[in-house]
Amino acid sequence: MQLRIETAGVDSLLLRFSDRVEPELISSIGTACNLLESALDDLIVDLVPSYTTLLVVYDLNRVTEQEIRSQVLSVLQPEQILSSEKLVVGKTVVLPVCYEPSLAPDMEPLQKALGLTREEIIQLHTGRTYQVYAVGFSPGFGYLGELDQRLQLPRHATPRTRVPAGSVAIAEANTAVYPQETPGGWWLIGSAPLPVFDKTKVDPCLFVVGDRVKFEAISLSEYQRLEALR
Amino acid sequence: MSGLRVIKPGPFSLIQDLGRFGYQHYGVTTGGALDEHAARWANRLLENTADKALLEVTLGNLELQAEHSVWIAITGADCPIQINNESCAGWQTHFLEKGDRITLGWARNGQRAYLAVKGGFSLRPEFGSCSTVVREGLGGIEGKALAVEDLLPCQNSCSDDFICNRGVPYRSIPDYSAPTTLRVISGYQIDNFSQQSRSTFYSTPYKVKVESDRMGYRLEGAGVSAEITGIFSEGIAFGAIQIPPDGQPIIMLKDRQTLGGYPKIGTLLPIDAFRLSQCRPGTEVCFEPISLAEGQEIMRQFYQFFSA
Repeated sequence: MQLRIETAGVDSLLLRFSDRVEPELISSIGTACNLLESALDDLIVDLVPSYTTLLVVYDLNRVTEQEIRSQVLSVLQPEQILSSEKLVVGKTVVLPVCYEPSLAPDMEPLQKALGLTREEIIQLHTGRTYQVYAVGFSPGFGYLGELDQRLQLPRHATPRTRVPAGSVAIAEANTAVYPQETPGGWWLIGSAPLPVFDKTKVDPCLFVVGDRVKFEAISLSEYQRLEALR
Repeated sequence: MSGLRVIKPGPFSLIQDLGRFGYQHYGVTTGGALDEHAARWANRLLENTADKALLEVTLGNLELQAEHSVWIAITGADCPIQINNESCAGWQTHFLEKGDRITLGWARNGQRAYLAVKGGFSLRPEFGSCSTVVREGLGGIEGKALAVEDLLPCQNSCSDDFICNRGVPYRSIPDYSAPTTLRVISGYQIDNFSQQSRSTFYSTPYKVKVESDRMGYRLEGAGVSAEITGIFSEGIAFGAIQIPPDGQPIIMLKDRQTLGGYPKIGTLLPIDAFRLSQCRPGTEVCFEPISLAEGQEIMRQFYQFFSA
């Protein structure tokens, strides 16, 4: 792994780990995030991991750029990240999803667009474990990948003005769960009865960068039962 | 707790503080007072610590009634200020008695006025901050802009807390309509911009577009193009200058999304990004490069001044 450090502003560094997106890389970035957080907690203001990079916002009242660069490098020696056994990164979250037509407004047009049956789409969507490559767009919105080639298609040309919270969606190489009701241009194929972002919790996100997510199909009655528990 | 009652909320008045830090990896933006210069002055005049929650009044047209006596300070955009129909000056403290009404008229110069109270507004922080981010429903009063009848709770203060009114020295009060040069620290994808694009960016003026808000300021002028179109989404620093395919710069401000996929030519010096947020649509701005070391020194002095 080849780490490049770029200046991203008066108090920010952008750590670039690679020019390519890879599942192993994102776990390493998650590990790097944890290593920096525990080693340089009093100097770091914010850490934003995403795909191939990690933005480090530091307190310029406590440290110069030169100093933080050398500290970051000493914490992130490649051997330390790659063989980091003390910091096991990433949990696997199994998320129940109901793919019933009433909760999946794009399922029918999607079947036509992809030339697949509903069962095939569900099977392909639940058939893999996804990496969380980034969390952004809105609080708790995770970019999960990579989607099976057969499910990949561009987002809607005109986004919906309101996508209900909990909607499970796909677009391009990604799948996601909408944490809040927001506008959105992805194809809606189901709904998850568990909140992926809960601001009342210490760990508000069900999953963060470096975690993995697997979807599990549930029936409408199971969905309703879980929804009632919320 | 009683405090200031909202009679007229204005078009977009928000509780803000210095922002929400340490939660961007959850996709939670920082928020925070857009013009930290004016906001920090308001708290400083009242001998508050810099992190106290205050009111950011976008464009003015606000009316509040004091439910108990309280010292306040108003800074930022030049709005006509009246207490019980009597005109008062900005950039200084005022004492409100129980029942007094304070109004801020429409802003004549600048975009955002700040109204602080002695001790700060007492609201429950979310993720460590009271900053309102309407898009995320976080902070302030239920994550929303001020509305009629809202109560802004604050401590009671007595008139002899200060011997006399305090004001900001005249030379420290900015003229928001003066020509503005924004200093830029090179970085991010700068190597993907040709020499010609860089020289265009630094030598021609840009105009603030109407579609500018707390997330970002959109500028209009000579197009700048990167040799790459998209990048994998990455973290966006405060003041980062994104160049989308149309070549028109977008300056990312306090409510920016935490990730973005456009190339960036550099990042504004934060105090210049604060200043930009006071610029009205149509205002002309120019860019000027500054070294990182110089930029850090300026910011250290700024923070030091406001922590003294």
